[in-house]
Amino acid sequence: MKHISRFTAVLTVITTCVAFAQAIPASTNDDTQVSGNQPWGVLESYEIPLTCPEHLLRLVDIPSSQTEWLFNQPSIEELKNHLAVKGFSEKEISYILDGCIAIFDPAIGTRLFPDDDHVRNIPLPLRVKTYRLLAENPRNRFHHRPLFMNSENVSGWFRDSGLPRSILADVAQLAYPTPTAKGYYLSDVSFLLRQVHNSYDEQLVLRALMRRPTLIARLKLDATSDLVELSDYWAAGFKNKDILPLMESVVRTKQVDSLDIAHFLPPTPRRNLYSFPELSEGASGRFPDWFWTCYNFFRFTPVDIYADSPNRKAIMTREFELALPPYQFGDVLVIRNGDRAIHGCIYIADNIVYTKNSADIYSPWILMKLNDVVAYHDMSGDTEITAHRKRVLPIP
Amino acid sequence: MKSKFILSSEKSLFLAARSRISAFSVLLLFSAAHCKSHGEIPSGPKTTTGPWGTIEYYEVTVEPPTSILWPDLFATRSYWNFGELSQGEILSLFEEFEFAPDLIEKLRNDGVWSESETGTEVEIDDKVVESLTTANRTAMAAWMRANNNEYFSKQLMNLEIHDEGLLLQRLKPSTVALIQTVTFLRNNVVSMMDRPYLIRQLGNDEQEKKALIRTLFSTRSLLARLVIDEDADIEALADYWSGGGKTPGIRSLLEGVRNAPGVGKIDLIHLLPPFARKYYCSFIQLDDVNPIGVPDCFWTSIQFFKARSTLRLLDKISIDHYLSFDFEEIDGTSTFGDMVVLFNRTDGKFIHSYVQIAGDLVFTKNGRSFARPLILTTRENMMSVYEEGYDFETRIFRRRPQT
Repeated sequence: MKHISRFTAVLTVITTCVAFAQAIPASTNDDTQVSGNQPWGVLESYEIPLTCPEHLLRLVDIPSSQTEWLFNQPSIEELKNHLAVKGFSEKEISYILDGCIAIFDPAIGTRLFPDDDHVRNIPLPLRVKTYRLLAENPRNRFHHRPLFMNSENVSGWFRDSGLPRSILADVAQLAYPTPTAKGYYLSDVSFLLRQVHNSYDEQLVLRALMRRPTLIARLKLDATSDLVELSDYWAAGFKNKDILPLMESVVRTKQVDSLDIAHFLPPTPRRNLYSFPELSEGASGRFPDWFWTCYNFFRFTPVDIYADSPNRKAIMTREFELALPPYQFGDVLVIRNGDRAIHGCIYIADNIVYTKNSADIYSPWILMKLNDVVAYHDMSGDTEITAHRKRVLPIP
Repeated sequence: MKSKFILSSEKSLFLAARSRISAFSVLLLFSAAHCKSHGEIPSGPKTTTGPWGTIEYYEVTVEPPTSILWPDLFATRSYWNFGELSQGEILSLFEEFEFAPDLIEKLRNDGVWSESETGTEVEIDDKVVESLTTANRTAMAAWMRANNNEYFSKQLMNLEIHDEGLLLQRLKPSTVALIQTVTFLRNNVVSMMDRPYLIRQLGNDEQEKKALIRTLFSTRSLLARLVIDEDADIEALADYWSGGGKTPGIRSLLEGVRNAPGVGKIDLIHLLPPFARKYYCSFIQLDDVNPIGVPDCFWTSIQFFKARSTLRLLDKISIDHYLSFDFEEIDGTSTFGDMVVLFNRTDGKFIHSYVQIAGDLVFTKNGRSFARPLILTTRENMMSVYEEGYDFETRIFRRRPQT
């Protein structure tokens, strides 16, 4: 029952929050974050959920509602040995295997089908251990790339999603902490789909689970703003100098006290921010990924280059130089696991980054806090960040 | 109020023409009266409410960045082009423009006349420019608009000075004085055709030349926000701002803002389709041009809902070719994303186009210059340059839904 008591606390929070939300107007529950005065000025940011558009939702390959755990080992003995090698005790191995229906397929491995009670009640430490192991196999789709919640306030996370309280309770039960202990992962999409009984509710669950957290950020501007300092930061060493006239004009305008930072982004990220890729963007055979997003940040016309492009490293060496903190506007931050780059994003300001977290069409270009991006991608808990600053080419 | 205002400006123009008071001075007088009557320097943004929700907007001035100050903007050759007219016909025309007799004689005897691909040209020197009265300039501009639109659109500039004091602070007093000598009013619009003359007068002062160009090309735009409170009708807003479903992703953003306490408003930039987001309050780049042409108002409006801009839109093919396949003409009121086209009522030629945004707010680009940004503006402000002498019909085209 240990696992239940751990999330009972979270569930209590949910219940309290739901009750609280009903008692007070939403507008008083303001999630605004305001940065202190920094080189970028004063930023205020708000977290909003971005829901996958309906036309893309209709393209989702809905998984079976039968939970499946896939291991590469094609026999029960090999699987047990594998789990033991990975540090599972005999008791844990029994817990995983007992109650599961198994199919042994020499071509694929062992397919385990746990029942609902098994999935719901697996102790948290064992869930974490098991799901991290399952994550190593890309065919375990939602373990390899779990859904990410940057909050343990599940009711707040799914605010206005329409999910019934029973589903919220299941989410609280099934979520497990990320390796960085920042936020939670959720892999049991099949389990949740099994809890609904019509296509409408099924779409409701999918829509809610595919929400992406993002930030709306505004730069506070008024006549007292230090235009020289602001310009210096947002122009990024003249790489983004074309935004300066607008910034100057806004500072002069008495009627405005803040401006959405989309206006300070270069044209290509400004075009893409808060949008999901158009299907037409995959017409050439690939959809934009993190490297496409980072490399094209300052480019007016994007170049099709991806994280696995053979010339990626050469381009980075030629066009970028390593940089040390403090990060600056436009720096490419690469999250590394050893020598492997697992993700990259663009530093904006106040620990906010511009990111596209996956190459698929369900991943929009968004603003997130850097530590949330790291938590989202750091599946092993041992990543580091390197910063790369675009060189300023000499003016002819 | 409107008729009173026009009467007032026409009277000012008349006085200016007769007494050689520059149009710039008239503008200053007019602006002071206008500000007073409209209570300008408002304490808050203006608003517009309708099916689009409630939009707050305020005016900013966008100046071209130094990176797009191409050499052509600093050209120093002053000339007039009269198309197919002969030299004799042009000299007669000068009389209609009420040029002084000695000026006509000077042009007849000392003018450098030539035939170019586009017609008869006469090169003019500083003395000619300085001899012109405001009435001469006004008359010639009106003739060029009606008879040589190519020259008119290339040489005539409308000065969008919003805060004269601040913008004039960017220039030396002597430069400001020079500008005052060559500006004239076309209805309510301050115009000039003598940029090369001004550049010549600045000699080797490169810094001042850049400041001059940036000042002359300052363009008024609007920044705007849609108010989204907890009672917002997301269905209705999403239907409006997606152009009837053409940009379906808008809905999730509207929902997200409504569901997040404290946000309250969303910048209009996020409600525009990708193409418009990329260029809003910004400028075309070299990537956008080819030897065939450069982007203009039509290029801006026809690809409003396009995922990305294309050089195909610069091809010299008929407007119908573009409109007939992707668009349908509609009767009635324009809505978000509709392309509104002004055609000359007499010959059916294209005059201008823009994209309807909400109420009086429109998205457009004025002219073909690199130095003019794509802007959000009011229809009234945009149309002010078409009040003089144009006889046009307005047609509305709606992009067909993608299948």
